[in-house]
Amino acid sequence: MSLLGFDIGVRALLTAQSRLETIGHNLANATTPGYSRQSVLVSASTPQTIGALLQGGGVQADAIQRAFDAVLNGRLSQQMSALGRLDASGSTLMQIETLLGGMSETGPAKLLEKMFASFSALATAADDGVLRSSAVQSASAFAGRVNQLAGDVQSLKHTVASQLEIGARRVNELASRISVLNREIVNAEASSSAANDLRDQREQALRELSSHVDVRAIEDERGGMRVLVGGRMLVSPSATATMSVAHDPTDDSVSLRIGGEEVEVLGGQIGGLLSMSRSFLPKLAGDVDAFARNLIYEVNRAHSTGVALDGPFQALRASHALVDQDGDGNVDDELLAGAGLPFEIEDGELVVNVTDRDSGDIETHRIAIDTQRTTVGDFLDALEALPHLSAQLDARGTLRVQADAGFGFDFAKRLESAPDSIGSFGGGHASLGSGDGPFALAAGDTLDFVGNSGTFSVAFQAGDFTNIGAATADEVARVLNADSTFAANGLVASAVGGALVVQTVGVGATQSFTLQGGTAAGAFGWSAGQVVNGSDVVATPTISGAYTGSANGALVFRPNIDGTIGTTAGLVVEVFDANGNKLTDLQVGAGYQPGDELEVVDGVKVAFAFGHLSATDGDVLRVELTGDSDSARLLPALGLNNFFDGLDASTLAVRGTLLADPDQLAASVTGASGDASNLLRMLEAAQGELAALDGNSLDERLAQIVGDVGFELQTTNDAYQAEQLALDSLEARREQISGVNTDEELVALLEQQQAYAAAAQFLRVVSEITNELLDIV
Amino acid sequence: MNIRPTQTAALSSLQSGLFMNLAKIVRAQEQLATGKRILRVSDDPGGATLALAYGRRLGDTERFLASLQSGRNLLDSSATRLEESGEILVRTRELLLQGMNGTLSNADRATLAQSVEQLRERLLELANDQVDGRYLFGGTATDGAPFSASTIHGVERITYAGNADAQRVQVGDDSYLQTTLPGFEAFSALQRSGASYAGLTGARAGTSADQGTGFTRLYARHDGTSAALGAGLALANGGADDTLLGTHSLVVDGVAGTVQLDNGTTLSIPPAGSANVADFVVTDENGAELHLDFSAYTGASFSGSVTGAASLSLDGTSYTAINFSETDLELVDGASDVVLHVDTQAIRREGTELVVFDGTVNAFDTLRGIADDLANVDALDFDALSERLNAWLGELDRNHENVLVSLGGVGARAQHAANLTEALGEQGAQLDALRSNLEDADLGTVALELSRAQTTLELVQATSARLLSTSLLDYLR
Repeated sequence: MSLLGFDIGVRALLTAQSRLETIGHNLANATTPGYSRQSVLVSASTPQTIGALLQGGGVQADAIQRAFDAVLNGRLSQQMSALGRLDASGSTLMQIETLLGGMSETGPAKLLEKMFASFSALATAADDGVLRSSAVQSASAFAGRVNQLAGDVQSLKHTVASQLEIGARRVNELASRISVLNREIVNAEASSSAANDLRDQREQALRELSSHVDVRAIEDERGGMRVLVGGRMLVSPSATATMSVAHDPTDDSVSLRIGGEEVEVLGGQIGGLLSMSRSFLPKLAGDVDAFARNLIYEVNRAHSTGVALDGPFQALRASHALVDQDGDGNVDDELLAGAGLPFEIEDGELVVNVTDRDSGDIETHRIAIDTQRTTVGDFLDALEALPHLSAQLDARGTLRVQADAGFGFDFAKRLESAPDSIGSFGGGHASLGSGDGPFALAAGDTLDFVGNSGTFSVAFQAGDFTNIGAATADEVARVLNADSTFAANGLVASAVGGALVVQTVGVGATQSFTLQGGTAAGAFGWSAGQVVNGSDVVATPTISGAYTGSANGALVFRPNIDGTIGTTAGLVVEVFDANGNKLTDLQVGAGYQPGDELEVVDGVKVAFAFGHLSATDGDVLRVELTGDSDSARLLPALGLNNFFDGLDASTLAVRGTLLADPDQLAASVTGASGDASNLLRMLEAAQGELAALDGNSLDERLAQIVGDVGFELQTTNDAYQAEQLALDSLEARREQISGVNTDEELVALLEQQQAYAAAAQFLRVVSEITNELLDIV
Repeated sequence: MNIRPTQTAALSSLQSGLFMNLAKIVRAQEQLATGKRILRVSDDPGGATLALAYGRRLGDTERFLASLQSGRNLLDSSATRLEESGEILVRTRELLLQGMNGTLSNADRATLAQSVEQLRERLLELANDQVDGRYLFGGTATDGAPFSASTIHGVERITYAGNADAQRVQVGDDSYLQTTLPGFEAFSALQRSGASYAGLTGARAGTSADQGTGFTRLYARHDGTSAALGAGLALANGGADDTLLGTHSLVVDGVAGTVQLDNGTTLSIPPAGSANVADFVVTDENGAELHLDFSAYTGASFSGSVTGAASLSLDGTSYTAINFSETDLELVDGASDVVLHVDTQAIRREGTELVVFDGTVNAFDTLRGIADDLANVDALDFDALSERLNAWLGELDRNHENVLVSLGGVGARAQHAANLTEALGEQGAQLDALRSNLEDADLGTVALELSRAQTTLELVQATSARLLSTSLLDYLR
């Protein structure tokens, strides 16, 4: 009994002591982060059987236990990841918002508005040097701001990348810390009971790791912890992998690697930064680039078909190069549509107006562009073939177009002022016109003429035509003009649209020739023996007005009978479209006053001077109508007569020529000093709704970009606050479970103090009893 | 769930409470300092996007207003010049009517002519006027005088050198305001109706149409007289001084002692020895003159025909001979781009025929023509002159009408511009108000928020200070 008494007393003392120490430990760590309150588990000792009695053996301390909720801790880790992600995204977004300068007076949106305002001001006085300069400067300021924005976004990408590096380094530190703790815990727990404080530290490290990356932690039976990031092992009980940031210089993208293998990190600060760097920033850069690209294209499309203040151009150099794609050292054989131009071209036409600076006469030419067929060489040849114009590619492949001295060119939507350049409609030449081709000729067919040196014949051979059964007027004219006798007889042939015209070179009533006949005469609708005479009076037609149609076309004028303008009863000029469909009749017979303007169609007006028209001689006049002078979209692709140079947000700039000489701003369509109509077109283009921007206008798009970032940032901030609240409540819950309440500990302290005193008292009693026994002995 | 508060939990909840309230105070202060509710787009992305959209609309409105302002300046400038032009034409009309008064002397008319010339110069000044160094009436050709003078066959003419394009400014998303009037509409609009002859020489319009603008002179020249005369009559000076053209009948009545050319005034044969007996002028009803030498007159009666050969010219230098049977003689003058078809059958006398292409004489040339005729440069008799002046009246009234119509158009546009300015001004104010509602801070509300946040903060501070200071240790002795 006596031994038992001592045992009980000593164990009670020791137990109380252990509990006191634990209380002290708790109190000492009351403010230690991640600390979990500990308590000593006690139980009654195993009773002993003494006789018939089952005698209690006192108290014993079994273990020291943490107040700890593993599930809650897991959730806390997840919450840290979510919050870390939002924190990193939010702070990056905040920087972007500042860059975009949404509400600021110097933001891109405001500068775009200022550019429009200065264009609009210039439209009120198109030749004003100060307004011109301010229009160009405001555009340049806007372009500079967009460049800056593009640069800022780029450098933000770099900042994010370096933040990622720092993050990865911290992750590695934490990983090795966990690894060290793993070893210590396994060692400690192999020999004794739970290593509470080490575990607290490991959990604290894991929680911090979670704020950087989203982790999955698995504890094995020996107490070691595996940490997985994006499915890859970062920490295993035996080893630690290293997280690294890989930078791909080709597309400036970053990726995260663990032990050399790429991992997908979604959560934590690193997850947030990664998503910024991989999706948000590239999308933003893409949006800004798309905006800039559309602006460049739309503004240039309108500008390129305008005319500068000093009228048609003498020379123009393209901004974008034509590039040899197949590497044979020759650009000419490339398809125009596939020669590396930055913008798409389409099937269509390019209209080139050549102006004679002395007379002011404008001749309109068209170059057809077939994206499947037209090569760079074809296009250059077509430009070269235009009278008074030359075109070359320089060594870099940029196009240069030049006009002869005394001539100028432009690509504007204009009306030919003097369409009857060859005088095939009431002109002074003896002139014989055909109907519209193609003409069904056969090999060996002839045309027989009586010219000023006698009778001669021109024969047609199959080799002269692509298809002799459907010969075009151009081909027939080429054959006739190549015939030396034909030329020697003072005759010349031309094509007026689809019609063939044979004329004397000279003008006046004395000029004459006879179509004697020939087997081909019928194909042109000519009868044998037809005598054609010139005239002293020239019925020059004059075109005026403005074509309001949007499609390119032509008007073909033919008289219905032979007659004199303003005199012959029933004389009508029939007007056809390019396909031969009759549009209208113009009464030019008795009652018509020569010189009076007649409405034709779509805003085009024509006036006929006094003269004689002949249906018999096939008088014909063709007027080209330009609805869209660049339906092939070639000019913006080539960068010819650009307003903006560049291709995207970082390269956007006002063309240097315009900055140096604002008079080169193509504000007009006609070259007249007060004509601002092209400027208004540019404004329309820049403010119109664009299919490429989902039906938004450019300024709306810019506002959307700004708004999108704002929305994203607001959403992120709201989510951050919500997640923060959730974290707070989780932490409060953790505190409730694991936190140290000093009052509680103090109460326990008092309790244990008394227990200790009681045990001591018990020992004294046991000791006294034992002494008394010994005295007896 | 058991509730087990700890000191750390209390501290952290206190901390977040303090932060939250402090953030509210900072935000409110920021709003008060800038006066803006939305400082960053993320403050209220929906509101900010809307505010930005209002801002863009407001920018457009301001742009349109600026365009309207400059457009109205141009329109008002045009209107005042057109008004004065109208007055000039009215004044010319008065002078013209005065000139048609038969009692006026040639000198009086010459004075009127000078006045008309001065009015013409003023009219040209107005039409070529500049605003800010830009010609007002040249269409979009603002860098050159729209009405320029050129001299054709010794006569100064004014032609329109501008173009037909009106200047426009944008005053709405899809609406434009025409700010200038191409000058030809007011001063040289064409309403062609064919050529008309003043009727001096008897030349008439041929069967074919004519081509020309303004007016031209048709010179009918006397190229010599041929006559088979009897009764001792002879042509004075070989007929060189005659002005009769074509065939006229000459009747000399020896009994009555009279001589008559066609239906002209019957004149008494001058007695032998009188001063003009060797060069006696007989005139037909149209004023065609025949110079007869009665020196060797036998006193017998004689009737026969006298024929004056003639040729016509448009420029006074190159002449085309006629035989008085052409019904459609084509005369072409390249310099003035005139093609005239003349019926020569009724040509009776030499002279300068004024051919007016009706409806094509511009205001300046009309005034010039009036001044020339008032000054009587073609040395016409009063009847012929009066007929010409009368003909000018039509052109003058037509030109006046054109000026008035143009003025009406300009006035209407100016009125439209004024209305638009007002409407856009209101719209701008509304947009501004809308934007301000969205963007600007309501100072009262913000101040209230600020004081509320402040109160809460103080409350939190006070209660937590009290709570934190209590501990069980205070009571353990």
